[in-house]
Amino acid sequence: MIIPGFLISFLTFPGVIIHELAHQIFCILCGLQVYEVKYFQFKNPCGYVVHQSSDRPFKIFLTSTGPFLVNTLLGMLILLPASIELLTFKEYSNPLNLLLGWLGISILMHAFPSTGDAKVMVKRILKNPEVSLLWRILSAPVIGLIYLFSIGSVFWLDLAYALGAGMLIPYLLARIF
Amino acid sequence: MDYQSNYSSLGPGFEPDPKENQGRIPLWVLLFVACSLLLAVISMLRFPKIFSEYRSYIKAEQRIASGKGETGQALRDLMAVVEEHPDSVPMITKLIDLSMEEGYYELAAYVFDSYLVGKDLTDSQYSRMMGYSARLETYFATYDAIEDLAVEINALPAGSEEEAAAVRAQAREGFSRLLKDSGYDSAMLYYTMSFFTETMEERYDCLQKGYEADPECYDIRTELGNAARVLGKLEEAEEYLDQALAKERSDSGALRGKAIVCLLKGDSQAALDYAQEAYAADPDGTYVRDTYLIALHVNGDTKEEGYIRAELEAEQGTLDEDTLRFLEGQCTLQEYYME
Repeated sequence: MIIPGFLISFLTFPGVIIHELAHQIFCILCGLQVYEVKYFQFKNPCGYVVHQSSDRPFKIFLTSTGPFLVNTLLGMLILLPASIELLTFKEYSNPLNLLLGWLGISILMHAFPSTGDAKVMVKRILKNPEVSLLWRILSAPVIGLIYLFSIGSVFWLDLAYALGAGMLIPYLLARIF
Repeated sequence: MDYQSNYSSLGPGFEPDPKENQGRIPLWVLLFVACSLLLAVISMLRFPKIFSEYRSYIKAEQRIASGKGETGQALRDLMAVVEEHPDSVPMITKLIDLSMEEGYYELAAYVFDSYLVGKDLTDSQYSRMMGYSARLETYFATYDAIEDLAVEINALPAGSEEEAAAVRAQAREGFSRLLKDSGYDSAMLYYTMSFFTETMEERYDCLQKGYEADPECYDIRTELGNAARVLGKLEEAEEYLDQALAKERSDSGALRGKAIVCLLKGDSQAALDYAQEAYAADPDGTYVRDTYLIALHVNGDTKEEGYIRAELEAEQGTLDEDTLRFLEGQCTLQEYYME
């Protein structure tokens, strides 16, 4: 079932907030000034961060891909206590589990950088002749994955990622212990 | 002012109006993240218990397939999880699946009636459960038919050896009649019929047929192992008993059977180990004390032998004649345990 992307974003708005927060955090860590942050709005785009640019490829890379790390870790952490009952036992009677499930899955669904983020990396790294070949080689597959994931989201790849990441920690723990 | 924008999941389409540095994260965002994490921490209090239940769930099949004799315990652990999560369809169907595969039909029936009724199932789950339902109906119909036959047989006189032989013949005739009806479980019928045969060869044949129909029927492996042992087929006996122990290590009948096979093969230490394990698992099990006594005697542990002998005499008055003959050296192990 194809549902408009903006509707998905409205329903999973915590993920949008954390996604923009992640961009902001990495800007601060990279010493880049942040001019404006819209954590969430009911229009396209649902959120954005306007910040100082940089000609350092690693800063561009980190600020663009920051949400993947932050959303994934935070989403997994929040979903962990509820993941087993919701995703494996398929029990939906505990309101706290449902709330954590919605929060965790929403945050995980917005882990991947957007095509807008990819375009920034294409412009500032891939197509920038002043950037070293090594950085262009490193960023190319990441940019490709971002576009693939964006296409895959039409087929609920973002939800599949959220569910898979949500069960990863319990699965690994069960294997170890 | 040079700036770049990073966006949420939707692409660009406008030019923002850059302002001065707004690097500070607003309080409401921090509160939002803090509250989410706090809820997660509160929920984590239950995580160790839930994780333990999750482990029971995902490791159940592995434990059963490992051959370490943990089938019963794995199913009991899964049952405990189902009791904690009575609305979890994956849990309930997994327990039923494993119970049916391993021949724990009464457990499967209990879970079916107590937990599965009224649950929403997928098409494949539904057709699988309906298959089990038909199988369980056959199982309980056979159980009832055997009970009815037992009532019939128990009403017959069996005071003399001739009358007892007539009762056994009547029982075999009853079972043969039931075996012609495909609505009954042939494994259960052959297993029960084996207790009414005249010779050990006949008993062995009955058990073999039951085993071929359903190797998970009751403790058919143990009974077949013991029958093979009496007939002198020690390797075959050991195979069946090992199968029984791979399924359930605490099976005192199988442990006792292994102890006897080891005694007959001359491995008295292994025999004592198995007999001790059987005694620890179920001291009141059929002939468990007797076999332990014999193993202790063969190993020369006279002190422990004295204790076990005292327990047996307290329970049944005196040791049986064959056991006394062996302990007094008037017969060999082969004469005692084989035909």
